[in-house]
Amino acid sequence: MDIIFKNVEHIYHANTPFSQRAIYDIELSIRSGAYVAIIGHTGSGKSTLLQHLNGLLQPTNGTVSIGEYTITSSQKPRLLKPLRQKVGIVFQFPEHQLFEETVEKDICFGPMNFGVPVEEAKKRAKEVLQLVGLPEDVLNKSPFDLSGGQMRRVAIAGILAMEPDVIVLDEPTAGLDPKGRRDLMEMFARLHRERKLTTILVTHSMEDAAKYADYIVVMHKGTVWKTGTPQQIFSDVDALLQLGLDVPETVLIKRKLEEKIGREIPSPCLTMEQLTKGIHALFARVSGHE
Amino acid sequence: MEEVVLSVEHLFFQYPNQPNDAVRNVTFQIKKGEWVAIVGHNGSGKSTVAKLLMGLLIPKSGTIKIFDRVLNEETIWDIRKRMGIVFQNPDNQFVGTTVQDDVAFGLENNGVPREQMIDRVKKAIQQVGMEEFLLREPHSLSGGQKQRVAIAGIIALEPDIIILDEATSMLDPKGRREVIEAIYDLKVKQNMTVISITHDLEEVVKADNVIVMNEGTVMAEGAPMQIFSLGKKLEDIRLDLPFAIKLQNELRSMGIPMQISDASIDGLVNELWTLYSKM
Ligand SMILES: Nc1ncnc2c1ncn2[C@@H]1O[C@H](COP(=O)(O)OP(=O)(O)OP(=O)(O)O)[C@@H](O)[C@H]1O
Ligand SMILES: Nc1ncnc2c1ncn2[C@@H]1O[C@H](COP(=O)(O)OP(=O)(O)OP(=O)(O)O)[C@@H](O)[C@H]1O
Ligand SMILES: [Mg+2]
Ligand SMILES: [Mg+2]
Repeated sequence: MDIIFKNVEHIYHANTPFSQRAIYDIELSIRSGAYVAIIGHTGSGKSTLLQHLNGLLQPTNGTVSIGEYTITSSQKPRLLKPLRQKVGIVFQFPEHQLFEETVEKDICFGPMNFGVPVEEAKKRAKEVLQLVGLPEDVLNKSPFDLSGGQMRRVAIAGILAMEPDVIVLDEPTAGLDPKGRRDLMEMFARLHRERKLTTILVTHSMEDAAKYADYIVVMHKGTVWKTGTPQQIFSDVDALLQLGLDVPETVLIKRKLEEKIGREIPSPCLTMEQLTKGIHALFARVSGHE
Repeated sequence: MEEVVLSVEHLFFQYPNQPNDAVRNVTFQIKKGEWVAIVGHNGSGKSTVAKLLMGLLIPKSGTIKIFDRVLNEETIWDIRKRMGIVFQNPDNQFVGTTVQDDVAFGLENNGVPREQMIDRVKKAIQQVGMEEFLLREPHSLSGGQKQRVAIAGIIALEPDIIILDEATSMLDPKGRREVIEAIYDLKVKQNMTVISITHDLEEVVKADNVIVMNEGTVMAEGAPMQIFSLGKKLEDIRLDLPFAIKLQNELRSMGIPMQISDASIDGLVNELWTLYSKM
């Protein structure tokens, strides 16, 4: 399912004194099977944009097409229901998508809502629980009796159980412990590779954006400021810093070091490995080895 | 700076109908004016400890002493007036219908005179950079904006002890540094004590003291560099080392003689530069 945004605008509470334009002039195309990261500071419109991907929000202007579906301001929301199965969104606050009395019922709700028989749904629940790193004994607990990071995992599991074609992740690792963060990012990368799952990730981790995305969309004050490969986006450090964004730690270290020693490190340094190689080469050259 | 402001002894807690204790034999002390980071895997009991300290949960056994008084039904109200907590999910915290009212709510409750209140509300909202949102409905804000407002609501109270439960998890990196910086300023100016539950290792680096939780117990306690020297042991309990330390370890294994005495990026760059100039 290719995704295309044409001139999309969203105004919350349009035509009221409280109207609030959250995004505008959005032009974006995401081909089926891509891994896209969306970055941008607080309030730049990332979550608003995401909610257009399954029709939770409809544009107040412009069109969003997702595969065979087209969403405009006049579209009947009812017709968009099948889209919710194809596009799974993990929300920024997991509490917003948990509501059943047990974790099992919560995870089974989505699949069953789209016609999956209860036994199959329960089987899926066990499988996805493993994917998100939770033990089976939480199945009978209330999702609200879990810790913050455990709730986050249940919310992710519920979306995975729907087996969507497109997975949309709004800061999915906020609140996870460091190992959980790494494990889940690797899990999403694996699903993306193995199932050709189109993956759209909103993140404040520049490291994750650099490491996992095919390309990056930078949002600024409600509109798309720039798109490009991680290498393109993070090559213009000054521009990003000026927008109030960060660059990956590796890129920052490369730059600070280059400034100090007055010499260029000829590697993009988007990963730890590239950076250590770059530094090693620098030292080797000076001391005349290698 | 040496005065103990909060101490916990042999604390146990069990949630109703749960087979195991969520908090087991937890003991620690926090000194006045300290910034203490609490780290630990998901479900290790951090938020539970925070709620016990606020008197929102009652321990099964053990004692909590705050401002030299034992926390119990009689003392709780006095003690709680001098404490503030920012919860993991800001939506659980909002009571006002506008940002401004929400931040004012706690002050009103504490009987702060109106003149003073207006001033403090304004200042707190400025400190978190939300002055353009005074009349907005808190629930309709973006994730990061909500967290900023939740923090403003607590710093306006000028508590003696502030507990942050992953209060900046949804902020962009720069926003996070700014907000932490603002709270740090208050800590210094008002000699406030800060207990910050966090998964953000860059924040841990800046703490005075770190408490490491694992499966309901305190597994280690000490200065950040002391904790990071646990190395592999931290990974075993699902934690990690700050990026700068991992990089130094990596470079050392490649034959570059790093000292590993600093967990900050600037420290790391300086050390590399010194080594480079000596060659
Ligand atoms: N329900 C709503 N009603 C009115 N305004 C809203 C609503 N939700 C968001 N906004 C506003 O729209 C803008 C964009 O919000 P959005 O949640 O899309 O930002 P974001 O990029 O996801 O930010 P964050 O990184 O903080 O989550 C913000 O200024 C926000 O205050
Ligand atoms: N209301 C509750 N009822 C029953 N069990 C609970 C409740 N709240 C938390 N727990 C359990 O108690 C343990 C400790 O939870 P706590 O919320 O203190 O963890 P945490 O360290 O804050 O984790 P996180 O980093 O995920 O926020 C977890 O195993 C959790 O499932
Ligand atoms: Mg958001
Ligand atoms: Mg917690």
